[in-house]
Amino acid sequence: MLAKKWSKFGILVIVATLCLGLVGTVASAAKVKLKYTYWGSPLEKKAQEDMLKDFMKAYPHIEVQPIYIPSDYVTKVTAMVAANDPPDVGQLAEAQALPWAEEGAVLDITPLMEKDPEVSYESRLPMTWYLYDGGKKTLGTNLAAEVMALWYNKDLFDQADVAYPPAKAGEWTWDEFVETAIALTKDRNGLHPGEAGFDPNNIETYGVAFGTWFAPILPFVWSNGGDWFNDEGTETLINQPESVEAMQKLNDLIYKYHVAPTPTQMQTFPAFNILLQTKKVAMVVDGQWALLDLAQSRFTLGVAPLPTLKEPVCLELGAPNVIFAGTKHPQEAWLLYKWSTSASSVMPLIKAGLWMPLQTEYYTNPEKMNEWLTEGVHPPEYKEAIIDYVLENGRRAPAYYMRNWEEIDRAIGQGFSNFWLGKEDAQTAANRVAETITPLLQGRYDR
Amino acid sequence: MKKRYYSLKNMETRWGILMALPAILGFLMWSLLPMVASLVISFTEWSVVSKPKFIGFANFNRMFTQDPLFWKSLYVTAYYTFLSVPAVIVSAFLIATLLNQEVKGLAIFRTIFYLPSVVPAVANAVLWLWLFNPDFGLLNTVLGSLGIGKSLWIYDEASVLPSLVLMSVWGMGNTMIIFLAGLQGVPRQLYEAAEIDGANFLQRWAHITLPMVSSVIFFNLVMGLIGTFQVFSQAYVMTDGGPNNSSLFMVYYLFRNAFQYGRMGYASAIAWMIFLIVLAFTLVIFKSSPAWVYYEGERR
Repeated sequence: MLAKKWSKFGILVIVATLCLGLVGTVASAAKVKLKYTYWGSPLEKKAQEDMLKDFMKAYPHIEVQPIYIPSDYVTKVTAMVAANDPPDVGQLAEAQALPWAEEGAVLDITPLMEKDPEVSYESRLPMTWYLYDGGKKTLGTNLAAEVMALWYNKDLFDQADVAYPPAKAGEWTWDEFVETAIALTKDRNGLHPGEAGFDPNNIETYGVAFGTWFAPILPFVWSNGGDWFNDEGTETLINQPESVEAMQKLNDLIYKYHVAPTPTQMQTFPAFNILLQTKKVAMVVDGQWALLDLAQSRFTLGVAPLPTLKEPVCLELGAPNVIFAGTKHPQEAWLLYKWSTSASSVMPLIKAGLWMPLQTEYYTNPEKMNEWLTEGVHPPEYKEAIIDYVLENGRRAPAYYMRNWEEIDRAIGQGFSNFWLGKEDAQTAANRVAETITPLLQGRYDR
Repeated sequence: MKKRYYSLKNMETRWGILMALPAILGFLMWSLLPMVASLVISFTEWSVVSKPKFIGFANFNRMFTQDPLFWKSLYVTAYYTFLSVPAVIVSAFLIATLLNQEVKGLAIFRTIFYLPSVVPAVANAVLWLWLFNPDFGLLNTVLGSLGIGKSLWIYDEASVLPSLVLMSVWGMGNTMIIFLAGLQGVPRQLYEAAEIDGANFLQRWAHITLPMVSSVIFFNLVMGLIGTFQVFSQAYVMTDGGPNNSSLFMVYYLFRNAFQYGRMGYASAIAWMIFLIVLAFTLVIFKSSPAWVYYEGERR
């Protein structure tokens, strides 16, 4: 008897829950619900949350649920897509974006752009577009623009009585750059490389520091008239003279001229901004995003385009923001996409130095420029060294077009690891790498 | 109401199954089902976001004939296993023997030797990253002060795996504890009888200790083998599989394929390959065990 009573009660509870659930669904059905996924530092998290709050104020009929995924982003978003519960709008790593677009998991936004005069290919920096299907379709642009540049501590230049690098791209030759690096490098006894008694094992200040991943290396290969791949992305040019020469020159900075730290030394070094501030390094090759931390450090910051081998080149890169094809509300998702990639809604991050605007007008219109260039953050030469540099010499990173880039990138990184440790020369390493990556080449998305 | 009778045996069976049900269900849902699923996936081309496409044995064909990195990862993993498992077992056995003696501060020593295995894998990896640093690391500082040349440790193709083995020996606390339990289970009267007969320490060790703990060695050997074939975090956190793919462990290569290159089918095929290899080795050890493992109360 008792059991029967309980089961009746149980049924009642279930029915009541169902009713409540139904009521809840009906009440919220009036609002369109979107999910927005993103990664990033705590600062980016806050800025993105504020951006979404402003969006909901502007469009009260849309409710956005922010989903912050600070680690294992791709794995988690993959799981969401596989479970048929994808985000509506969100960031995506370069390696996934284009394959997912081809497989139909990420939306082609060309039909949406055609109906909306606000977004056109011309309205944003030309190199920030992720194109596929032979260039006929696009999944959109980066979330923010980023370029590789040379950042330096002006105090160290003043102390060594060395002229600052020219802010105009193409005016600083490689030899002048090496001379500058030598003049800035000194060992424990204050001696420079090349002087009698110079001790390369006890260097107090290095002239320059750079990472060995593709972004600090490839612009120099390009600048030397070379490339890692042919125009169709079907053959590698990595062991051709232009590429090999540029990479050997970078390697010589470490092992021949002793003006740059080795990769194993870099392992224990703190972040670049600390290296510049503590005068351990005078110049660093790093992305524009570094400006956030550099601007907050206590030294006089300078910025310059990368030194030129034959022609000035600026490497542009950045992970895209996309609309996931599984969205049930493409119109609202489009509104959110536009909002999240528009400079005015993420201005705090741009003014802080972390991001750069995507919209071309922020680079060409002086009034718009003043909206984001911030005193105390962007150095005085920034306009010439970064804005003009990217407009005139900007070139998109291979992640924008190379198929199978993730695997190729890794194979290049692994293949050159002994080269960067100073154990072999560029030609030997490049010949081997060319052999390993040739079977991995599958052409381009945009050709 | 009708009265029902239950025999004691019936009731025991019912309760037994009921109590074991969570474990059984857990195995079915979280182990067997994913295994079957991954076996099916290993015959497909699947990037997770697309629809899986059945491609027969193409993944296995690619593995054996077209992918030099798979062979590299197999070699790296086997090399590491055959170096690390014996090193860990010998050192754990040795230290367990020492910790089985009656010395002052025994509890402290046991804690000290066990402590490293409490450290989380990633924290452990970061710690050793510092120790291994060629320019500022503790290991090279010690070597330098002894007048021995410096090593590049994990930054050199030739020394990266021995370095990682050294690190695995440091974390052998769990193996050691099992040995210690085994050593303490050896009956005292055997040693006493041997002593009366005039056996010295080495004879007692070889003829009593070793046979009596051979089942523990067997257990640790199998567990160690399974564990080292699945080594991952060292490559993920410390070396990124490098330099020049010289620490590209199989599970790390599998992870890259699954979550970075979007090749879930190929990754599943690699997973099954690892499973088959570990299965083969385990069977060999099991088959060989009657020849060298002694179980008390078992007559051959």
